[in-house]
Amino acid sequence: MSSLTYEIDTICAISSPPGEGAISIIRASGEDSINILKKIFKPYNDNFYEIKSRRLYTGRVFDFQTESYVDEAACIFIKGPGSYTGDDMFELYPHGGIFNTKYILEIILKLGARLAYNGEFTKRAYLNNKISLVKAEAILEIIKANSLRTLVIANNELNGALEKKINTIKEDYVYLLASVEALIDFPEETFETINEDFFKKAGEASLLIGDLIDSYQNYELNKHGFSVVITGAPNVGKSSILNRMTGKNRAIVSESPGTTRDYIEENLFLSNKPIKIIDTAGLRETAETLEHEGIKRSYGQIKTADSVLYVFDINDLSENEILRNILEEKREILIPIINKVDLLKDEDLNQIKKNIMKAFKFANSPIFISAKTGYGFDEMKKAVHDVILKMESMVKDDIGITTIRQKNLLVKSLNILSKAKDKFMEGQPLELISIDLKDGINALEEIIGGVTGEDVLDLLFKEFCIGK
Amino acid sequence: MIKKYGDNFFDVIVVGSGHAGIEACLATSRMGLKTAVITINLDNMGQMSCNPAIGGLAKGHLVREIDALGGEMGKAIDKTGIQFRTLNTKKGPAVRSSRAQADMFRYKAYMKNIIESVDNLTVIQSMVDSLIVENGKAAGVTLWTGDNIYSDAVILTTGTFLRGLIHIGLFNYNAGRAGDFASNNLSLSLIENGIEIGRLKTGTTPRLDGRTIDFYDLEEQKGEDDFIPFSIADKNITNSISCHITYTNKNTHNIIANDLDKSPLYCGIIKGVGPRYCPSIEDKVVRFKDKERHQIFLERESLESVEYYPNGLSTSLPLQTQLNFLRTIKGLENVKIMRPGYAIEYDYVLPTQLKHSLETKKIEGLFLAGQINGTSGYEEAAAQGIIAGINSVMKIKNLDPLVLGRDEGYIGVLIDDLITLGTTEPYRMFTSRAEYRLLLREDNADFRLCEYGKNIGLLDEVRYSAYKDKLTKFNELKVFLETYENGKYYALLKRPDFSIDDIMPEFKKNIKKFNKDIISRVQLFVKYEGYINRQKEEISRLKKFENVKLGDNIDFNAIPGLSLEVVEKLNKIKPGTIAEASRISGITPAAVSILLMRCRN
Repeated sequence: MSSLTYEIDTICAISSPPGEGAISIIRASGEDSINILKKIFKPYNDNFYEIKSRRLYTGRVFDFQTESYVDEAACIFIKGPGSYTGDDMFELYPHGGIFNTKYILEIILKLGARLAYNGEFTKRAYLNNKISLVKAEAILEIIKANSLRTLVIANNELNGALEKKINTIKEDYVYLLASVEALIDFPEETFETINEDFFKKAGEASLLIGDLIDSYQNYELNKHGFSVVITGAPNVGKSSILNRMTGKNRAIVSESPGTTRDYIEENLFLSNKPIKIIDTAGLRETAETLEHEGIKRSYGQIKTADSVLYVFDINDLSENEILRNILEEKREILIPIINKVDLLKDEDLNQIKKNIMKAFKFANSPIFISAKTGYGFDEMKKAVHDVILKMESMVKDDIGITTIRQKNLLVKSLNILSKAKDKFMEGQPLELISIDLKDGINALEEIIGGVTGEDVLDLLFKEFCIGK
Repeated sequence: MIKKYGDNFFDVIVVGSGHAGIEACLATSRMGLKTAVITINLDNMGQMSCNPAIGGLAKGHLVREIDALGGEMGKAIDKTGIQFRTLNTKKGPAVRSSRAQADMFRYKAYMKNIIESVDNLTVIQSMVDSLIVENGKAAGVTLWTGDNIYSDAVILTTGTFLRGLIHIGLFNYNAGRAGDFASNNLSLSLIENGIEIGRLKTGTTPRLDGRTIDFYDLEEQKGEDDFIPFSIADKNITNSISCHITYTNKNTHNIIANDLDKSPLYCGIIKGVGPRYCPSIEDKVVRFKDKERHQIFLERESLESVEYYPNGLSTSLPLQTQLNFLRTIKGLENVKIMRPGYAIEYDYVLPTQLKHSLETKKIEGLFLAGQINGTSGYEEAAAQGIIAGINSVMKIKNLDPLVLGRDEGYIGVLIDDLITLGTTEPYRMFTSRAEYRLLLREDNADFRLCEYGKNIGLLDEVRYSAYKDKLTKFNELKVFLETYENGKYYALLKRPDFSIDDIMPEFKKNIKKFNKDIISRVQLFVKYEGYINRQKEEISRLKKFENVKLGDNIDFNAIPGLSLEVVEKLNKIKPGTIAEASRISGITPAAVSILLMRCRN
């Protein structure tokens, strides 16, 4: 059954995270909010018959079933349509126990409210025209944001910057449509520069759409973390580096080469950047099948890496085929790491550095570390951070899309636009081009939430945690 | 109590005999109702107050639709036109439109003749001063002489006559159009009955003495002899004249710019809103400063007169300025003006107060058609006239009104736009207003609407059987192409670079019996079948919304979640279905989902 049929009843949910805390938050939204609040909450000093909007009350929570008070709490009532959802709403702040919070929620349910399903508060805000679909998605992304940058992008989505950008594209589209309609409906008029202007605007719109499509990859990168792959010949100390970086004893370290036969992944933050650090099986020719499989996977990891730490043992700086192959593809993001320097004197390091740069033509300077003592780790982290910054600087700005739904619609719109452009050039019937252009606009409107199927909405709002 | 017999009682009274009034009174009388048509000037029935032409972009579609329902306009122009052309021949077939120059004197003589030969129709020259309304129902009209005429329904087609005010420079006077009285009291009667009135402006060009125009160097535009006549049953037309094209220039624009202080438009004397798509020449000069020249078509008004209509030069500048700028134009160096161009302001009824039947919501039995509803153009007027006429009969006979869908005809689009969107400038039909433009072609107007015309009893047997014949031939040729050599040529025809002429040699014998009209209809159908099917699917999807009725007494204030602005609009327009609501400007998709949810409950 369609969820829309439920839309006018009163919903409620616990909005604070599960578990024990100082204070819990219970939220309700809907026509009946005020009556329910009057029944469950008895303020200390105020007359509750004329409950004021946006005012904090303190008092006691009343259980009508046992006719007793069950908790002390604060509450606030917000009159619609000025509230988050657009309905009348209230928030109740009882003590942060698990049992009392759930019990109070149950009282509210028995007073006629219904438990909200995932994302329903935000869905109501959308249906009541309080926020656009893009903004609803942005709220979800903000909740899930795991780095400063994802937060900034999601926030630009929320404050309307993305919508504005999409609307600019839409305006270009409308211009194209208007040109076509002018040519159709005013055949006796002369429009001197109309063809030129059509292609110019179409080109501009295509570029803007293309930029937005590209922005998705950047956002994904930020969201899932940059992948930093540790690789190198067996037994150069890759796993020890991972263990020291994460402060965990995740990888098995042993003196015998080839101990790490599959890859190991750990997440950590590097000055606000989420990093996925991956320890791989050492790279060498091998006859053992299990290890062979591990090496194959290592190559796969390197292929998609955002940064590669290639680890040498200081006692073996010889060139090899494997390294040459990696360098060919990943020179800009490969950082050479020389491990086990605790076995060597300082004065020798400079000479070794020179030799290495000469031999391998690295883009980034080699970094000397000791996984045993921790020497050089700060410098190594900084080098990784620099590579990340370099990659990020290639992204134009912080306004971008954040979901695959948005990306797919943009791709659809771009394809339609280039088709329309071709047809215009070939002199095909204008009324058909007009239909294409309208389809292209519809795809954009679907992003902002102009016309969209209910199923899209349901899917979207399901991703919210209850109470938001 | 009113006595319902005698000389002063009719079934229907039609006020006005312009393009709307004519179709309205012909429809009611032909459908068997006793009708009176009242006009201020019997000599000017069917007058072309502005340009001497019928048809044009999207307007040609309307003429053919009127014809398919059983109207007169198409037949009249086929017989009295002096030049016929198809516009947009280089663009797609769905947006091709027919246009004809009319001999305006012969056109109105033809119309007067038809009106005087129809049964059941009484013709009265007089002015209507007020409506007679009894218990919220239209019951007749009071003439300026004080006489009452009674009826069960009244159709107002007042054109620009309601408190008409003509401007020529800073001089102005009260008139319905140049040479006719204005109707100054009827608006008041409407206001007293709770109808909301607005004010619009339109304009026309000076008329030139053709003997003083030098055509020698001007570009000539000829008519097309293989033009397909507007009316289904008509066989041929006659091209007797050419039009000529000239252009304004920098000098023309300078003269106009220098005299703007004498323009009633720019001095703020004219309060009514004019049409953006048909600006006066002074408007064009001011708004498009960079444009070096504007195109002018010189159109002869009648074979019986030397008067010329310079299309593109609508103006309300003073007479002397009009003459000065005209004489800067090539071919017009020695021109003489026979009648000055002028602007006219007039009252109109905000059309959101109407039902789709064109009956007012406030006063039962009162129907409105034409410029009084805020439209512009003879064809738009005639289209509403025939619908108002038909629906006044349906009302009296207690039958369902004829309401055409947006997917059935431009007439449907026109009326639905007026009623759900309203208008603040004179509304003109454009093909871009129709979302199903590929379905609503000129060539299939008869296929779309003739059955309606027949069922309501307005379409005559001659036209109906002509339509039936075409339909049969169309299907015959279509089936032939589908089956001939396994549909090889049918598939070939779908390609954009193939026309039927290219493949014709292969089976010329087989299709000899089909005329050009049928061949081009089939070709079009085959070429656009894919797109057409897509539009049809979209329609059936939206039809679901069309069927969700909102009910007459719904209280929009009581629906939570709707913004104040939305509630205000819904209360004003009172949409009948979800689909109508969704078309009202400012009604968001979110508001539509809330309404939908209400309906499901």
